Amino acid sequence: MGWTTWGWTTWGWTTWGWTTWRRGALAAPLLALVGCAAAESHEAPPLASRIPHEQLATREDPIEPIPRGSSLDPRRVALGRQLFADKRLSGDGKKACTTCHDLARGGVVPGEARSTHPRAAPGPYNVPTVFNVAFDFRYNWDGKYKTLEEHLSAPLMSPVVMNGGGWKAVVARLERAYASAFFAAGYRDGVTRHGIESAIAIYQRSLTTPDAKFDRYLRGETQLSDRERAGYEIFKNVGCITCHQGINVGGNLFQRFGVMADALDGRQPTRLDMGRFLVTGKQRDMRVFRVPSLRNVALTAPYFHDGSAATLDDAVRHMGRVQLGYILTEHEVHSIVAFLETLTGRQPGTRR
Amino acid sequence: MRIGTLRAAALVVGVALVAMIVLRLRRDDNPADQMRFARALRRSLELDARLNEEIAKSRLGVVTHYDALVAVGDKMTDVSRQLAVIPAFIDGHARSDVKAQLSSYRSARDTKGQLVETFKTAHSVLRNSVRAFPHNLQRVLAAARKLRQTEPLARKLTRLERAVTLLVVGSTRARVREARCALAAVGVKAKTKEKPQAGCTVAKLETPSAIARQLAIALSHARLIVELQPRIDSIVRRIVTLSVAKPAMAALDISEMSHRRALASGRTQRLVIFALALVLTVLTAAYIIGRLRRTASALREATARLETALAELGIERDRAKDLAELRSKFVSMASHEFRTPLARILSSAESLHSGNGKRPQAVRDKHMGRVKDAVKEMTQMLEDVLLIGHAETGLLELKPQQLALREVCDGIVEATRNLVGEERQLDYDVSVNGASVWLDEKLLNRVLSNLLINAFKYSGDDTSVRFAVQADEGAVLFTVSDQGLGIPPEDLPHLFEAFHRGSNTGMIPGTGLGLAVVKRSLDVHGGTIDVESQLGRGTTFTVRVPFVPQEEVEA
Ligand code: HEC
Ligand code: HEC
Repeated sequence: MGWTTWGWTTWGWTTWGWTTWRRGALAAPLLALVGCAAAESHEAPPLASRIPHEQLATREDPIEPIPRGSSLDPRRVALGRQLFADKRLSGDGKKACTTCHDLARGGVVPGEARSTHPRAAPGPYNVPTVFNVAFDFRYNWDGKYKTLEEHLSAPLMSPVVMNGGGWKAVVARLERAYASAFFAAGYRDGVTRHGIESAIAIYQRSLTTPDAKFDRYLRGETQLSDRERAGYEIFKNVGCITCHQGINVGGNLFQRFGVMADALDGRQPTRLDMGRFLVTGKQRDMRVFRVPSLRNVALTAPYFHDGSAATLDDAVRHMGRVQLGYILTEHEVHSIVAFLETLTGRQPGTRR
Repeated sequence: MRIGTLRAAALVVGVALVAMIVLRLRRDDNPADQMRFARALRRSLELDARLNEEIAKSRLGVVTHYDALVAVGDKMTDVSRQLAVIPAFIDGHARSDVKAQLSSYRSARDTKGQLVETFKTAHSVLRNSVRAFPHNLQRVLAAARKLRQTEPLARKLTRLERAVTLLVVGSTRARVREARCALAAVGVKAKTKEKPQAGCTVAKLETPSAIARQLAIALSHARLIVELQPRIDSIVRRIVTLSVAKPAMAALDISEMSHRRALASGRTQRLVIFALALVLTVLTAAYIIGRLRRTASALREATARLETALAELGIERDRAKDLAELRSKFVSMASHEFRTPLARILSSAESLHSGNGKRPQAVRDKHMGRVKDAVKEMTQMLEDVLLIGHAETGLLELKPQQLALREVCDGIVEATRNLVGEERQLDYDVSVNGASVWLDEKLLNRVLSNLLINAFKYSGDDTSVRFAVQADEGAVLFTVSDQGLGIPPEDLPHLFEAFHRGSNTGMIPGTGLGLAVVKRSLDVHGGTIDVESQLGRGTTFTVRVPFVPQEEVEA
């Protein structure tokens, strides 16, 4: 498969235009590399392709800071905040989103594994945080939902979560509860399914945690302690960074839970351990989960989809073993945890 | 009629115009639509190129996170949502073409999206294994070196390291096979597309327990590399070759063509609308002008009719006036002219009566004669009046009969001589001996005697009157000339009007009916009368009466 086959001859100069070409000027050698590397009959690939992956890396950091400020409509955010804490969304009027996603405590109910959830009927999964969901590429452990708007129906209508009882009922309850003027400030049509979905989604997008120590370090505004820096180095060198990267330190790809070893440690797998298989039905998606974001991870114990790791130390140790085939020393674990703690940003729950 | 056609044509053109305008408004060749659609398509091309670029960057480790890939994917989703609405100007055949292209674009994009997910998953693991495998292997080898009898193991592991390293550089088929066999040689089955161990020597590895765990991890990294590296390369190749661009390009071409067509047809439509509007304007103008002109001509007609009506009314009025005048003239004439003979009758009657028969016979005869004459005169007057009245109302009848012209004329001359007296001189000249004519004797009589009596009446006693009768090409010419007063020229036009009398007749009595009777009598005969007159010298009347020769009448 040579360059010319899918190069200029296929796409053509005029199709791409100037801007594309300029980008293409960068892409072209890269694509050429890939093409050559992929070429079946190339016994002696050009020098560039012999350079191992990581050495080609630019100075681009695998983790990016969370931007400060937002451009979201404040009226809609305010409406969403109200709805998010509104118990009237639920069928029995006893649960709000905040019941499980406590904003004062990292967007989860901390310390609660799903089996011992005291306040709500136990959700099927360990509760993930709603912080920084704006930067996740899919939602829920199995990544079933592509947008927050789509996702809302899941907790709202689930009989074990909010048991909302259908959109008509929800809209009717809210219509009774809300002065239409308040709702209309954000949505001209008043209380509608679209308005509710949009307002809550927009509110959740506003729940970012900027100015984590690590972000300020990335911006050159502060220094990490030796231990934290060592933890980051280990995090990178050991390979955590290949899955937990990007702006959210995760949340942008699917990955098998247990690449190098059985992640369940011999425990009998349940339906919920099937992960993405539940969505796609493909065998290769068995036990594949969305890699979770590690931002604010220090606040969101317990860990993993099943809440099987009670402490961050446990989770880190487990990750090293099952994902990387690497037994982390205690020192390494502590260093990594110290690093992970620098990912805790400014909490929206405390900003109110 | 033409106006009606105009109105119908204007109506038809107007309806067509409205229809065209409606069509035009309904038609959607909005440039903004095309711009939006084309921009989305072009953006999809650009994003596709971006995606390929990001994949390449990730594959080569230039970029060490997947956010950029995710972002491109999200943007592609946005764009494909924008493309869900196909602009209205793409219609008919083109629409289904575009739909087809877009659906193949979408399916290509979906496939690409799935490939990207697979890439990320495989790639993140591969990266770790590629980095971890050499470290792990070195550690295993170092540990193995301390143990005895590990030469074969070390050799196998070195082979594996070489094979894996080469594979990572580029997964050719030969390298994949070699790597698989190197794995098989240490007892590990790699799950690749090809049959796991085809053509390889499989060996069970004797592993010293001291390094077993370390080795197992190293080998699983090796296995992952052998499994994932070809997969990654094939995914990248598929992503890069799977061109979302082609259907997007095709859709772009079609949409641009459609838009151009829509614009062109829009142009024609605009032209047609313009032409229709022009025609409508012209028709309307023509209609209005036609209407105006018709109104004007109608007005003119009405005026003309009114004028005729007025004229007719005037004529009527004139006639009524004439009649009234006639009547009043008759009354004044009658009151005057009848009184004279009546007075004469009365006086003679009184004389006869007062004489008590003692008057001598001669006197009595004289009075009786006077009475007779007066009665005759009155009868004559009455007849004249009656004749005029008949002629006026069209009741005058011609009763022609065979006449011996000479005898009739002689009779008239005789009667006239008797009336005017022997002392007056009449030159009588007849050159139509023996001619027989077909005429109304009574009328002829009245014509000629009137003329002759007038001639004597209005001339001096010592003058003579000439009366000539001659034949002239199927007609008889009667000429009566006198040497009397003559007729003033201003009277000539009214000469034959009833009750009109010449301004110079003075005290000479007369009814003013004589010439009117002459004229009307001649009229019914188809005859004519000419007057030549010199004031104070005399007058000549020439009467021309066509006669029907006897033979013809008998035939
Ligand atoms: C009964 C506890 C409970 C309540 C109440 C609840 N959630 Fe959740 N939430 C969960 C659990 C458990 C999950 C994980 C579900 C899964 O992955 O399938 C979750 C997941 C989510 C996620 C996805 C987060 C991620 O990172 O993927 C969002 C967003 C979310 N919830 C929002 C809401 C909103 C909005 C409400 C109110 C309408 C709500 N939740 C109410 C328990 C709850
Ligand atoms: C091959 C990809 C991959 C690698 C490498 C990886 N992780 Fe993970 N990580 C995951 C996945 C997938 C999950 C979610 C598993 C689950 O909950 O089922 C996860 C979960 C976690 C969690 C729990 C997050 C939570 O909110 O529940 C922590 C903490 C974590 N990883 C830390 C690490 C550290 C530290 C490393 C390096 C030693 C690492 N991970 C390496 C894929 C990876």
